[in-house]
Parts: sequence; C-alpha cells; structure tokens
Amino acid sequence: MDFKKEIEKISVLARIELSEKDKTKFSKELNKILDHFNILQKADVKGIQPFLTHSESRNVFRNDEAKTCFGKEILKDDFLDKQGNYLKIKSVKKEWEL
Amino acid sequence: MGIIDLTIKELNQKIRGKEIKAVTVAEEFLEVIKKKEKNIKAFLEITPDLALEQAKKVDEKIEKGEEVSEIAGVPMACKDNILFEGKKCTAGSKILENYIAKYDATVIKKLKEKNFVLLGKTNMDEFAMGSSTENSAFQITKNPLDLKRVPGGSSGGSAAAVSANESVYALGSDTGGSIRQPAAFCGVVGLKPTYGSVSRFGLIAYAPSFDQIGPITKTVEDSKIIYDIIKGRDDFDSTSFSKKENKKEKKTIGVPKEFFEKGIDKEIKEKTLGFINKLSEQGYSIKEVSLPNMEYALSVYYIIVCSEASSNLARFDGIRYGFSEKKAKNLKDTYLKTRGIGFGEEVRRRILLGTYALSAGYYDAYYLRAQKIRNLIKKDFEEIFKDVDFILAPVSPILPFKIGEKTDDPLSMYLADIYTIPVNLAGVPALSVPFSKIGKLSISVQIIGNYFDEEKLFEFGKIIENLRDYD
Repeated sequence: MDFKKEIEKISVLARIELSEKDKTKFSKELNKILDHFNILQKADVKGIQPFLTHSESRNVFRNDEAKTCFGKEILKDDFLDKQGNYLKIKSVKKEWEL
Repeated sequence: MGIIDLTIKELNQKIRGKEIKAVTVAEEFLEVIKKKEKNIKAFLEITPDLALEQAKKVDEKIEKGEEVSEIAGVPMACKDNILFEGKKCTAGSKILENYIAKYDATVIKKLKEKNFVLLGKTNMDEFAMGSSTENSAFQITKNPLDLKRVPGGSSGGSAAAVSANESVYALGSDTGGSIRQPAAFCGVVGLKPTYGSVSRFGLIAYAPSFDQIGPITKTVEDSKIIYDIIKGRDDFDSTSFSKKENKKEKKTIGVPKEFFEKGIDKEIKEKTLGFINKLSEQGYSIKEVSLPNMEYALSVYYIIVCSEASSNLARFDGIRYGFSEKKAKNLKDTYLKTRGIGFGEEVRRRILLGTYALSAGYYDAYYLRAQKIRNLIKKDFEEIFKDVDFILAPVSPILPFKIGEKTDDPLSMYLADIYTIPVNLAGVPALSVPFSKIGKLSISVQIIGNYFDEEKLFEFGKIIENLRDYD
C-alpha cells in the first residue's frame, strides 16, 4: 500500500488533521524510522512473555471510605463551552464513519 | 564565591544560621534570572511574587525560633510538566498554553511541606518528547556552557537553569534520558530514580511505564537531599512503592561492552575508559559485562513510548480544557483541528508512530514484539546485577550538538538517546555525574544501580565527584 495513504488513515484514527505537506513529510520520515525498527524481526522471542508492569502484583484498592475530591466548579472553570452543569460540545450526528 | 554558587546544603545552613535572609537569597536569584534569561531562556514562567512570599515565610519561622527543613529557603526551578496549583502548566505545548493547574503534584506537595521556594517553571521539549529542548512550542533554551549548543532534553530548561546558577536545584522528568542527558550536557548532576520510587501524580504523562520525576542539582549530596524528600509510596499513584534499600558491601563495577563499540565520540570514549582505569587504581574491581539485546533497545523504546503516548495524549481533545479550534464544523472536526494545530511536529510524529504500531495488522509485529524484547532487556540487567554493584557507562555518545543541527533528521535525534533508554526500559535507577571536560563542554558518566539502590548510587557518585579532573 502507498505509505502516504497509510499515514492518511492513521492520522484520522489519531484524530490529527495533517496538511498535504505534512502527509508527504511524515510518510517519508516514518518510513525511514519503521525501517530502522525492522531490526526487531531478527530477535528470538520464542516463549518470551511480554512486559506488563514494573511492580509486583498486589492489591491497590483502598478501603471504601469517602474522601474529598475536586468540586465540579473547579473543573467547570476550564470547560470551553457549557450550559449549567453540562459540558457543551458540537453536534455528533453522522460523523463517526472514517 | 557568591550566594548563587552555593549548594542546597551550604545555602540552607547560611539561612538557618541567620547569616542571610531567605528573602535576600530569593531576590538575588531573581536578579540573576533577569540578567541571564535573555541569553539562556531556561524559564517559561518566572514566579517572583510566589518566591518572595515563600521566602518570607521561612524568615518568619526562623525569626520565631521554629525549626525549618533542610531545603527551607533554597530557591528551585520546576519543569513545566509538573503541576503547581494556581500556576500555568503547559508541558511546553500550545495545546496547554493557558492551562492553570488545579492541584499540586505529590512532589510539589512534599516540597511545600518543607518550605521550598519556587523561582519558576522551566522550558522543555513539548510533552517531554525530545533530546534538545528544541521541540518546545515557546522558545529555544541555550546551553550555558556554550550558547550555540543545545542544553539537551527534554528537561533542558531545568538543567540550564542550574548550570547557569539561575537556580540552586531543579526538578525534571526522565522517560528515556530526559534528566540524565541534559544534566550531562550542562555539566550538572541528574538522577533518574527507580521506576515507582517517586510518585507521578501531577506529572503530565508522556509514557507512564517509563516516566519518573527526579532532581537536577550541582552536587551528588544535593541530589540525595531532594530524592529523600520526594520519594515514597503515594495513594494517588498505584505504581509507586517504597522499598528498603539493598545493602551489599563489595565494590564491583560492570562496564557494558556494547556502549563502547560503535557510534561513540572518540574523545568521550577515551576519557570514559581513562576514568574507569582511574577507578580500578582506586581498588574497584572492573568487570566487562554485556547487554546482548542492546541493539534492539532504541527500537523497542520508541515503539512502546510512542504507543503509550498515542493513548495518553488522547485526553487533549479541545473539549474540557486547553486549546480548542473554534472553526471546527462538528465534534470530530473539533478533535482533528484542535490536535492538528495544538500539537507540535514531534508530538504529532510520535502519536502517528504509536497509532501505527498499535493498529490492526501491525500490533504483533511492533508493539507485542517490543514488549517481549523489553522483558529480555530487563532480564539482561537482572543477570548483570547478580555479579556487579554498579554499571558504569557514558550518558551520551555525543557532545552537546549545535542548535538546529539535528532538527531535520528525527531518527538521528532519537539515536542520541541510545545510552539512556535501556535504563528506562528496565526501570532501574541511574545517576549522571560530570567527571571531565572537553574544551568548555562537560562530559558525564552514568552510574546505573539495581532496583532501589539509590543510596549506593549517591555514595559512589560522591567518589566520582572527588575523582574528576577539574575544579
């Protein structure tokens, strides 16, 4: 597949609009970087588990006690658009197809 | 030697001993910042009112005869991806240009309890993505040792501020070398603590399985003072934990042969090997060790880091806070345009790379394979630490490069991180300490320790400081 087409698809998945110039630039650069990454194909990973976490498995739940939390006022302050206690966004109709 | 040359310990003693007022100290540093900033550009925001108010509190406490802490009244600078309630926190990005922190990071809360003094927030590569601080959306920081060169990154502002005596110490964050490399480039000391030993609560996340906050200081002793304050388990960070330090008496140093094979500057190699010889003369036993999977480290690191970043930075959507593009037609368009305009080039590049690595059809070949090799690299370190106390290695294969020299070639910029990233992949701690000079530039070694061996790193770091070949 044409790598520029691939970048176009990825940029929509990542929700980042790219100019034509950026598409050309990024496809060239990412191609080179991915080429470098291909070195990983020669590593022997048979039977190796993927890395999951640094810490030992342990219970991180605390007791079920009420604690003070941020008030909604403080968070509402930053909303770019709002109506009462609601965060207001632009229409979502018919826009989710890629 | 003036006030600005002093270490945390020296300055704090003078303040506690009433030789000098904390307010006078803060004023002096603010004056230095005013003079030097037009050349260095280490700070994104300077907070004189806050600094003077915090310093005044220290003076009042001392006046009343109250006991004050080991850092009370000593001015510091903080990387702009660590939240301080009520102050701007931009992470060097346009997308957070006007964002005001709603709460304190745990490290800030701990420093506040000790009556610290904040001079300002420092410049950084956008979202900590970079090795030169040239990726900041706002300004380019210069290396105080040579103004034509980069200070390293991504904590370049913090390292430059300490190196230029604009601040006594600073906080940075290290995902793949972002504390150790700028500290080395600017000739100061930088600690990347064991993963999980310092809370990440209130640090704007880049790649959560790598990110760690740590100190940048003038001396190893100062590094220990700050680390001891900020470390420890935190209820707000489930990956943080406290552990007792390991204690071993022998002194064996492992030197990984892969670090000296190719791509290293000839002078750095010679000086580092010379220094290892010097340690051997001091009675340390030197052992050649190997990280057999080193050749994969860079690719593994960038695949995982970019994948984590692509997921993490999804929160910057132009809806709840930060920059939002008003001209968007609908919700999806708001996302596309806000992120297209709000994120700088390197951030977009890494999110695209991460999205690619995680997307259907490529996940197994890139992300999953990288996570398996990450485990192999972690095991390589565990194997080495069965035989040695420390690993000693260069921090960077190259000297600080010229501003603009690598901005057109992202891969060559990534390669500059080759010696620092294996440490973050494994999660072990490492301390970067200057030991020699080439011309006016400084070079450092990093001492890599076993998990939670910070105490031993500080002890050994002091020995390195004493053996360095300049004053």
